[in-house]
Amino acid sequence: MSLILAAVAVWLLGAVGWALARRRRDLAAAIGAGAAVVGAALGACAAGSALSGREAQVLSAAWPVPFAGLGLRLDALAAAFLLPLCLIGALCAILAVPTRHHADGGGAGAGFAAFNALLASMATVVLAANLVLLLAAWEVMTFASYALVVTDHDSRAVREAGYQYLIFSQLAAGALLLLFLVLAAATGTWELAAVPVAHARTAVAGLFVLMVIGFGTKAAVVPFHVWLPAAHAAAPAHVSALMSGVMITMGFYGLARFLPLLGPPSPGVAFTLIGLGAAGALGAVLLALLQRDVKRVLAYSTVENAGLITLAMGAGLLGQWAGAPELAVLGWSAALFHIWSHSLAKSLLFGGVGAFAHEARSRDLEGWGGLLARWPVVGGLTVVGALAIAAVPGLSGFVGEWLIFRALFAGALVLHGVARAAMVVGIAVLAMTAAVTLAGQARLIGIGLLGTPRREPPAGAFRPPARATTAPLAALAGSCLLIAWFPAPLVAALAGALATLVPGGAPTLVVDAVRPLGSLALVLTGVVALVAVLRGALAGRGVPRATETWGCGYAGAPGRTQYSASSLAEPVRQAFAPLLRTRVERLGPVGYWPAEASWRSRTLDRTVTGVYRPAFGGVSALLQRLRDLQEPRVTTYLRYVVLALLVVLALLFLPIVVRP
Amino acid sequence: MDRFGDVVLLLVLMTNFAVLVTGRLSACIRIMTAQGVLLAMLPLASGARFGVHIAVLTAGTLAIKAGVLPRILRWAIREAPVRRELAPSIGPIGGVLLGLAAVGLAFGVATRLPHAAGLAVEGLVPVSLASLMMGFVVLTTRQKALSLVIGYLMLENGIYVFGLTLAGDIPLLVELGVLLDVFVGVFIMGLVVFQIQRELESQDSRRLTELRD
Repeated sequence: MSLILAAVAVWLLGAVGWALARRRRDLAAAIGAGAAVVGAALGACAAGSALSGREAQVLSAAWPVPFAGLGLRLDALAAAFLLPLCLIGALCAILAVPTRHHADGGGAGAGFAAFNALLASMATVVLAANLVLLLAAWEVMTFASYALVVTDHDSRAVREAGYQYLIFSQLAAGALLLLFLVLAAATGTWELAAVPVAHARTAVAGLFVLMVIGFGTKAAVVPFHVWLPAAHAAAPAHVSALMSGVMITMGFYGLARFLPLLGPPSPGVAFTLIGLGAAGALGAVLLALLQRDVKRVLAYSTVENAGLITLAMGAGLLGQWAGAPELAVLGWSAALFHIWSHSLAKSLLFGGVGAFAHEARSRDLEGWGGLLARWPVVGGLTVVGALAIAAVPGLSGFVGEWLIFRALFAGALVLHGVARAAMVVGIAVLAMTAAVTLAGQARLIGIGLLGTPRREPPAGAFRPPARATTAPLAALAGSCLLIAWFPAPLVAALAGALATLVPGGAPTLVVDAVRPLGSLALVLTGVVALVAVLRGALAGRGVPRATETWGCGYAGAPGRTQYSASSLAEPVRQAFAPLLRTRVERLGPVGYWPAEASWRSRTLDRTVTGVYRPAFGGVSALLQRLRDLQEPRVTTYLRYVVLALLVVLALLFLPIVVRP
Repeated sequence: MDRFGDVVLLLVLMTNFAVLVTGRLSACIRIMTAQGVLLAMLPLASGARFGVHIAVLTAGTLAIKAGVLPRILRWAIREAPVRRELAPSIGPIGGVLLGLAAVGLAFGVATRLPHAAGLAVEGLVPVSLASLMMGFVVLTTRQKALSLVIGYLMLENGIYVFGLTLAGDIPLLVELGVLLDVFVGVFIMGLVVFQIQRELESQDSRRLTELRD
């Protein structure tokens, strides 16, 4: 416990320490990043020991804040979320260092202050054993991440994205506040209860809805994901990496911690999670394929993976309800494992793609191309991340999705009726999602990094990357490989967390399921390494000769005649046209000598166009009507006051008022 | 002492009605001065044991409500050439009728309010509510900024009377704080009235519309 307290203390010191060195950016960055790394190292030690420990470490102290107590508890479940937080937090802090001289990079002192505050608040969220403390840490997390999102606040788009993020976060915080109040009223204490309390059926439904809104918004569960693509596109690279890799897992931590408090799992809860997860995964992966902004591609990919994790959680709950221990253990293990693998791979991808976007001064995929040749190391690491996200065998993402498949198949075999149908639909959605993800990542890498440049990058860009950029990315890529090679030890290490989610659940089944995947990954890595070595040896023999590649008979075709990102996505878009409702504007070509032609497509998120825009428009219209009450006379306002007073007095005449 | 308290409260109500029927601002100020004197007598009648507390309260009320505030208001009308409330939205008859309705409502409500047991003077709560509502009547029907100040003063006096129900329990410092609060409030309002007059060449609060966002 003292280790993790020291970690939080170091982060908090880092959050205020920058003030000492406001003018000197190098020193401020050193203090900020140093505090983040030292704190993360301490936190990782604490989390590592808690992960294997049987007993939860508890600290509780009196605190003069009303209702709150300084109650902290570090158990296996908390540790399972704390460890990726520390690892990725430290690496993202290092990634930020090279941006310390850019206004939009977030590597300066104030950026590190918010970054360290974010790390400390996320750790507190995971540790809090008191609902008020948890809510306070949750809010600090929101505000710190908001400050990071609007790092480049000179841009109007960034400010709007931040505003949107803040609104969604506050709606979610409102739901959480309500949830905590009800829970506290039911248990009679503000301590985070370890055992479920009996609630009425309708109360369970209400509490579940509050949980999905409150935690699901942070976890990017559809349809509460809308803030995420905008915020991730607006934030600096290392911030997107941390938010996408770690902060959304805080939402899943909340769900994992609070769903058991609802009492024995009900089918309604499980089916809702499965439905939201499946819809989110499929919808988001299609949108990811159609984005032009590279960071929005990755953001929608995050939403997709959040959908998969939600789906796995729902499957686990369904197993618990139906008394199918195999499904329960596989589902929850799949969720935990996929949280880890997605965290690592997505941070890597955001870090790499963000670095490229910063050098190219553009996030428009249609303007990229040929970037791998300019930055082979960063590019190669980014490709590893893309392959891991696309669940290519031999990398971490494959193990996670394999486990989800295993869970769904196990469910389809043992369950009956609607539950079996849900599992089968889940399998179909997962298969489709995996295929489209592969297409999306192939598009990102193929269009963005391969080929020839479509637009010349600005002068002075793509100098050799700083070691502070390549080293963290290499560490993340290494972690992706490592958990793909040795998934069984990781699953075994997560056994404690699993036991808190599925009482009596033993991970032997899961360990057996993933062990062959580790061997497969080792063999595949070996083959790839062997091919690379052979190629290197053979290529070294001859004399390299630069020639034109075959260009369909066209000589000297410019970069702009390559396949574009939109054209690559077009077949999939047409297949899903009824779902996507893309707006396409096309002009020409007409006649024998067409002069001008253009083609433009725009696919909007249908939760935005279908749900949020009408809803917010309605609220705005209602409020506009309230404006008519505003009259420019003091006496009018005084009359409103009198009216309010009379209404209050009239309440006295109603029988509802309790009189002594 | 009960009878004495009731008489004072009745006189307070009468002064409120007097404001409702009076258009001349200087007369209104004189009536408010009288009300201040009456209010200063109330702590003596409220049944609390006479002591330093009550003595200071009486003296403070007398000084501020009957001394300083009227002086500020008189200064304000001397500086601004306004003598009468010219355009009340209802006449004196309407004002009295509204005042009567307010008194009726106040006595109706007062019986339903949970209040501290053992009040020496039964009438404190209804009279305070009536003063409050009659203050609102003045505030909502008159246009001149200075009339609004007088309405606000009536409203404050109502709150002050309500506070007397707790005179034995509230620390002296709090009571003095409230008195000071009213003083500062009226002082600032006097300045604002003066400024409105200087800026807009009129005291008509309707012309504040120009400040709408």
